[in-house]
Amino acid sequence: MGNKTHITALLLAATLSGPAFAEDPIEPAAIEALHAMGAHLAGLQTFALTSQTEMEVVLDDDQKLLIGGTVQYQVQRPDHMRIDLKTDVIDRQLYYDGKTVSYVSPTEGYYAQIENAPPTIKEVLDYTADTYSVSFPAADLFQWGTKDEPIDQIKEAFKVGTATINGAQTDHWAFRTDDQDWEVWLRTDGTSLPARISVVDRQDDARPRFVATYSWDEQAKPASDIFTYQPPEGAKRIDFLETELAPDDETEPQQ
Amino acid sequence: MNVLLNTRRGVAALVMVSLGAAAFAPAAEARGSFHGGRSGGMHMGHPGTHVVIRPKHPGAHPSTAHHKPPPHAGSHAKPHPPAGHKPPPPRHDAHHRPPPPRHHDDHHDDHHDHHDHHHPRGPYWPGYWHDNDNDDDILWGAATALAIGSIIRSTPSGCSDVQVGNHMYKHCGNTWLQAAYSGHQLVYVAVSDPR
Repeated sequence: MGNKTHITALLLAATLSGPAFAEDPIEPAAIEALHAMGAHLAGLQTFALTSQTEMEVVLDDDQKLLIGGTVQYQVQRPDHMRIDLKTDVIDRQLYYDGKTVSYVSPTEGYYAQIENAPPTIKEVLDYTADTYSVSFPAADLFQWGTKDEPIDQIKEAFKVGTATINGAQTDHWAFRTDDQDWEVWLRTDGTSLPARISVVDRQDDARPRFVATYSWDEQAKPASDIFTYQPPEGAKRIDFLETELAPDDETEPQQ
Repeated sequence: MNVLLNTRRGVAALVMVSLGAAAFAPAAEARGSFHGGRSGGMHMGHPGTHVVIRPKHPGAHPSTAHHKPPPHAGSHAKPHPPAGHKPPPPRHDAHHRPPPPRHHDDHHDDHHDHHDHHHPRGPYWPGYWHDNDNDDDILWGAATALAIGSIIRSTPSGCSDVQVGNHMYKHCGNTWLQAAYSGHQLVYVAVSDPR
């Protein structure tokens, strides 16, 4: 009798401890999985990526709306990239041919250009995001396998299980940082390519989630002329507003 | 575009035009809608770079959005690109300098107070959403000319396209507008008569 009670208590304790907190809140295998993903991503030289995206937008009363989009990348490292972004709201293109970045609204007939472009794809994506708040879904894929990968932000990491995404077998990993919850579904075919990622913003009480589901084409051979924008007749060149986010105490002008 | 680049502190140029108190019908508020609508970051590891779509306040009180301020750039601050990548330095032409944004009374905490109403600050990152309210139409009905530096998202009907130098302007009544990107969002900035 006494033994049985004892065993039950042990079982309960084991159940409550859960897989994530058994010993180290960071399962080493989860970090290894991210390293494998980063190594493969950083090694991709020429490829195409199509991503379906879903973003939760939160209204004043915390009602959440789901807004969809598609982003296509055609990439030739180190310095050629073409992005086609279509959401439910906008239609934009980014061209980068190693010298010039062109940001285009094909529907409205406007474009902006950055001459003397940064020398690599990653730096272009960082620059447009930091300076003009022009940021693209999946841009973070270019940081994995580099010194900027955010592995040191991870506070908890564990394997959720397995999942099939668009026919691909994946391992489902979950991570937690101070501000975000990440999930990554990595293909188990030896590539460790992400089939899907999810980011939950824990800074916001409504916990908005962003999900991107990826289709990879590692055999893509983009034509050389797709990276340079040729303004069509009537296209009008305009400028970016500088949208650098200042710290809160600097958001008022000092004029 | 001098008027834009003149504002080194870019945020100053992004203060959306503040509506005249009487001009703004409460309908948009009643719809619940988007003023203060927001979305989270879409990149792993960069929670601080997401754009809070919220009324812009001088930091006196939390906005109507329940959003904690993003942490300041910390250990993951990205290096600034080399100076050579910057656009050419702005020409300081006082004539084109936008006026300082209107200062609102910090103590008016009631966001239904029209006087305290702000447009959300762009950009509507990452282009997943924008304000569909007809604020700008209301604005156009109430104003004869926009203050230089005002930023709106749509133009009224009846504007004419005028080329001056290398720039294309929209001439609407007494107001001249120049298109620009605020993040992914296409906006129009009121500029002084370029002719």
